[in-house]
Amino acid sequence: MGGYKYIGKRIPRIDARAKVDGSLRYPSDLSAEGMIWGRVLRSAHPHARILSIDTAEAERLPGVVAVLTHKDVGGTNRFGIERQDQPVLCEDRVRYVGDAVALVGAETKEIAERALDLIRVEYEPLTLLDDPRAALEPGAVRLHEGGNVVHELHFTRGDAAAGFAAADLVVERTYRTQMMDHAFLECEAGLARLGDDGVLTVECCGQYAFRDVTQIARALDYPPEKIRMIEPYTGGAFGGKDEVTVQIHLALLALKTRRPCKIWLSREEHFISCTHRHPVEIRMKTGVARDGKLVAHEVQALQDGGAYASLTGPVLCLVVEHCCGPYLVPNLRVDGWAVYTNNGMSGAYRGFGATQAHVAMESQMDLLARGLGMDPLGLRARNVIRKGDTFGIGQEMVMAFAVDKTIERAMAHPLWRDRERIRGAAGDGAGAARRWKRRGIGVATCFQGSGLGKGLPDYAATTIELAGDGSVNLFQGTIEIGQGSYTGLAQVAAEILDIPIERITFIGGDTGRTLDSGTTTASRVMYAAGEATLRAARDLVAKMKERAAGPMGAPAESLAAGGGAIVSGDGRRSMSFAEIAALPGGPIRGEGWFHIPAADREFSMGLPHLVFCSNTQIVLVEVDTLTGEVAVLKAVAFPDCGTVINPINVEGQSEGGIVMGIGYALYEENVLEKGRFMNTGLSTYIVPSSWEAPEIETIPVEEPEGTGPFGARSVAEVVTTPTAPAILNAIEDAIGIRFTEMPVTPEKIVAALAGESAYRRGDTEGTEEGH
Amino acid sequence: MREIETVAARTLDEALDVLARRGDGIRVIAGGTDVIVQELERRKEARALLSIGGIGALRSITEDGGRVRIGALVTHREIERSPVIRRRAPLLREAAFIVGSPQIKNLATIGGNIANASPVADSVPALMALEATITLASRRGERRVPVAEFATGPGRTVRRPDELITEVSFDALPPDSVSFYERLGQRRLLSISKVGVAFRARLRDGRFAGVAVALGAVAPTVIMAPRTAAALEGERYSPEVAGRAARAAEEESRAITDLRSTSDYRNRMAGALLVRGLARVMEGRG
Ligand SMILES: Cc1cc2nc3c(=O)[nH]c(=O)nc-3n(C[C@H](O)[C@H](O)[C@H](O)COP(=O)(O)OP(=O)(O)OC[C@H]3O[C@@H](n4cnc5c(N)ncnc54)[C@H](O)[C@@H]3O)c2cc1C
Repeated sequence: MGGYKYIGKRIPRIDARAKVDGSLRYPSDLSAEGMIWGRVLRSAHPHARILSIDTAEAERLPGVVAVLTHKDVGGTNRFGIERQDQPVLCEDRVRYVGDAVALVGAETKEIAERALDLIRVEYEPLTLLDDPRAALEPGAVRLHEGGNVVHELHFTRGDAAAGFAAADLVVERTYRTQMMDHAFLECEAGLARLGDDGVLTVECCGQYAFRDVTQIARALDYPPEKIRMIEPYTGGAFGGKDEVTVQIHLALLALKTRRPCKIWLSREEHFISCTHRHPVEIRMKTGVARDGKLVAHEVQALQDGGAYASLTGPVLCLVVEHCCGPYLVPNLRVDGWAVYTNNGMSGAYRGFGATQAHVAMESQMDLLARGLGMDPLGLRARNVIRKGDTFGIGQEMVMAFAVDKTIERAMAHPLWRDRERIRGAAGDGAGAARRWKRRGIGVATCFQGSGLGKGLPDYAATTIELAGDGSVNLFQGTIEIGQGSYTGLAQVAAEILDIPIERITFIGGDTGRTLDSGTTTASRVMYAAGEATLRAARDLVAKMKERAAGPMGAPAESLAAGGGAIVSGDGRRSMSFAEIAALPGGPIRGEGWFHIPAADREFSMGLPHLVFCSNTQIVLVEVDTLTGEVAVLKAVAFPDCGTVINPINVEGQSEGGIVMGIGYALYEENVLEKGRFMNTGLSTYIVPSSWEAPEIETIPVEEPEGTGPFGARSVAEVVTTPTAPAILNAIEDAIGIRFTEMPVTPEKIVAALAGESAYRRGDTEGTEEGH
Repeated sequence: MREIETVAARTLDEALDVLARRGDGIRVIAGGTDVIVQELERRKEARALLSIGGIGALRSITEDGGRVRIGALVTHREIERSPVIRRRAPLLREAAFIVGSPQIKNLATIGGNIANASPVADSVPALMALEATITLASRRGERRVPVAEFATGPGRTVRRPDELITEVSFDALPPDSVSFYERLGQRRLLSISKVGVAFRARLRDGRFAGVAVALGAVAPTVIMAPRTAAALEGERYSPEVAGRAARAAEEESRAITDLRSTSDYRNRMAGALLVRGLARVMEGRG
């Protein structure tokens, strides 16, 4: 290793300048001559029968170009990544308040909005199913033909009952995680146009352009070869743009009106219609021997999927796959159910079920450590999975994995080593209010599968073309959603080709120009698309050598790429890339593809994974016992991500992940009442701001994985997962109270602090300041 | 969305003329940070807007003869930075600091904060504790109303349709005063107040005198808390005295439960913030 020019270097984002100066156009920035605006009429009820839809008055409104309903949809009128059960436009029934009932196209956004008010829909409300428990009951109203269970999983390994009988300490709790919004900056947006040749071009936000083609084609019965998706740059996604959002509505409007058409959801519409992080109720019972070895684990998970399937089933698979944390447990019983309800929609969200599982498991680990009087990191270190282990429900760890090292590094970090002293320094310098402050330090260790898992197509492909001036064009089908992967991929190509990053033109996420490279999800892009890019660059070098061999009078094998040229073995002769491009023989194009390795055996859809990454985090919190406010003062992360391609990007992911985890633990929740969203704006759905962001230190643990580019694995999701449980653990460390329901608001803390205001408990006296 | 007629007044006279003619038919807009939100969410539906942002005469902070006068168009940013306010009404500076974000503070006027009559308005508890007076002008003349009597309910005030708020004024705090504004939101900044407590008093021989306490976000309007003030009047500061007053504040607070918080928490915090604020300004004074 080492000796790289581009790998591991702090190279600024290749798209940073265009993003800062505004020249890069996000989907919401797009417009076209003669464009109309689309607006969606959402359901008035969380569950109802549609008796009639009358569009006549809306159609008569001047400026309205089209008012479309399910009758205008030619194909299946259904979409969904895992199964297609969600209507593009509802026929006779609505199952959540975000359901689309009609679609308006109008000359202006304002006219489109007014037209929505003129559409008359007659509903007959149906029994509301807003409790996932009730969904499982035999007499429950059925939301879909097949019943209310989207997916269920049941596994046993060893003998849990015997394990518990032999345990020295058993801890049992029920955890409730909340529904959470992705709160990305750019609400769902795009622009569609229909060419005279019948080619439908949709430029929009998304996370997988090639699957969007399939979803549009199927739902509308339009030939897929006539659909081109262009979605290189998306203003944030975090899983929330994995499922179809505006794509099919855009396509339908453009096909029906033959006018360019734009849709851009308002924040409120985003909140009610989009997929969220699943609320999951997880009961865990965990047994441990006196020496700290886990002996038995029992898990029941009930996941609220909302109205349609989307990725609810696969998310449940990951809840189950990660329910033991990165630890060996010989005796396991796990039962998981995911159900339909009328509670909005849930789907992909950074961490994808592993997040919820770890909230529970990492809380359990802390409770066990406390019960045994063991060092919490010590307990974790005693049980970790190592390469070669069979773990969880029977998966095997065959690839590089260094969770043990993340724990070792964390143990050696000053924030952990000196935690007694740091805790004692509560409220230093914070003025008189410091007497109410209590500090706590918490840790969590998590892991996460990379890629889609067993049984799902999980490949990546890159082409790199030599341009006439000796620069290259890099074609990659994945999407830049703010994570920085285009920069990382360009670094991989630059390293192999030995050319400056500026000599690479990146063409991304365009089904008309790039190869299908799989989803931009599941922590897979840097690993899979990175390896495909490395291979494409090598292929391009090989082809340039072949082309140059004759003119240079040397066998291709003796040549090498260096400094933007092909150079002979003795270094005496060289031919620049530009000179090679000018040689006869046509364009030179390198191609590379890669399949993410998969396990031999499939347990369920996408279960299990073979490639994993991990992360340990330490957080320092300060709880104000007077007001219940929690401030996260410091966070240290040790991501086990393989070789770091670009430290800035890894730090950026880690910092964003931690702040997102702070939001999960302390602030964010989509509040629903009887199937309706109560907080549909950013003034009531509270995300952390820069004031809530702590000092963050990211210390990558680089354990190279041979199958990844230069040893890289992945980092995108595992950076957020430990934060919430680490905060829960730190709060208990600070005030001795274990919270099992998030977000932990000041209201909950004040109520839990024995129901007495701090000044009434006499905390105003006997302070220890001045020591 | 609607088309809204806008009229821009350059002078106070122009504005008062328009209001005299059109009264209820036209809505005043200053910084627009409440108006725009309310109109977009259709909580209000104005047919016409009278923009007063260009009236230079309403933009200054002055102090003369111990009276501090703040023009209705002074922004929270200007209040936060004003040396006069820093010296003469530090609690108002604390309140101005906490409003929104820098972008909001650059637009949000004190007149708008008062006129909007929200129980969560951050400058209002401070102004109420200062026993400030609002000047309302119309073609019919001027009148003065104590801030505490201005709002009659959420969004409801004693302002008549032809009146404009031109100024808010109060006596500068004497040098022997202590004061604070403490508030809690759903996050530190850029959040709406869940509860706010404003306090001011003089210290005579180490005892509180002329105590005024106002509570925000715990009733349909910002309220004065006379029993809380009485619990402190004439007392020397101690944590016990503060605790007793805090219990009075809890009782005087009549908060509701909504998306942002619970009534129980808000009522408790009315007391807790009083305790925190008193500790902050009283301790370390020796
Ligand atoms: C993102 C955001 C964050 C915010 N955060 C806070 C916060 O933390 N604390 C807080 O207190 N407020 C906050 N606000 C609310 C708002 O900024 C304040 O209430 C502000 O002071 C209103 O002033 P304005 O000049 O923008 O008023 P406008 O919106 O122009 O007007 C508000 C109301 O007052 C009337 N009005 C304005 N001026 C006069 C006048 N001179 N005479 C008569 N009537 C008048 C208008 O007709 C309208 O009814 C926030 C708002 C936003 C959008």
